[in-house]
Amino acid sequence: MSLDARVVGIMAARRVDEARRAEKAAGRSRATLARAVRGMNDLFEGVAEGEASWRREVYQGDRAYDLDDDAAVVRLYREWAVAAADVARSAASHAGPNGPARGLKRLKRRLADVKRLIDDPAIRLIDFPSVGLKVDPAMLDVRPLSAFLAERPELAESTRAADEAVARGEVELTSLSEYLLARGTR
Amino acid sequence: MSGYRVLFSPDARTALDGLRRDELVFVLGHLQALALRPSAYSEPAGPTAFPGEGMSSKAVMPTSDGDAVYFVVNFRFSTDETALVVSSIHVFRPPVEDDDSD
Repeated sequence: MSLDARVVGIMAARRVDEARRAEKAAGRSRATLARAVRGMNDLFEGVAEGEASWRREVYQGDRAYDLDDDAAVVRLYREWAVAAADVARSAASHAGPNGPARGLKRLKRRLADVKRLIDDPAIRLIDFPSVGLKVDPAMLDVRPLSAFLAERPELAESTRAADEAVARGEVELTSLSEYLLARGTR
Repeated sequence: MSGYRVLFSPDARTALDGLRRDELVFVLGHLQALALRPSAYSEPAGPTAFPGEGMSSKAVMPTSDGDAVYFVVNFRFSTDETALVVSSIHVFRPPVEDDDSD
């Protein structure tokens, strides 16, 4: 083998080594990003669990609704969204031969879900009249029932029949307390 | 509970039976608010919906995934004006997604 051929062989081997090292480094980066994606999804689930727990306490009357609590949960979602957006961008641009990191699609969907929390600075998670607001409760946007029934003809007949039966006094009525006792709840 | 009593027709009871626990808790809260201040949270359904004096109340329950469950409560005032007689309750849940496999 000539000297030139040996040099070319050595150079080629070095290139192969460099390519393998780069591939390994890219693989490690992808693994790191995949862990980051998983971590952001876990974090979201933690925040969502906290929100569900707070919401349940408010709905059940165990805790008074407080605008500060609401704002704190919204802030958590916003902070999560800022970090998650960076992770999602990096993971999307470092897709491996088997596609993007597992869980990236879910992460992007969750980012889209919380987008409204970022876009609307005055948003409230709980906004309905029965939770004992410390401020004046917002009025619900109540559309005429006729418009509702026109959009849901499959329900119109049974809804009207139920109303007519009540109007004629032909149905056996159950009080709220009786119903709850029968259902075995408070 | 002060305010109006709340009475359910069989259709309304059936609807309540089909609610999940969190939905039931929400609707009970809404009914409580409705019983205290019917005029604030309802409106006459109108002659094209119910002939006579049927009332309709709508409530929106936000869910943790950013969506919402919608409720429509239809009722009439009792003849002695002491109770809300709920004739029907409709619940509309968000569509179920099945694309969790990524």
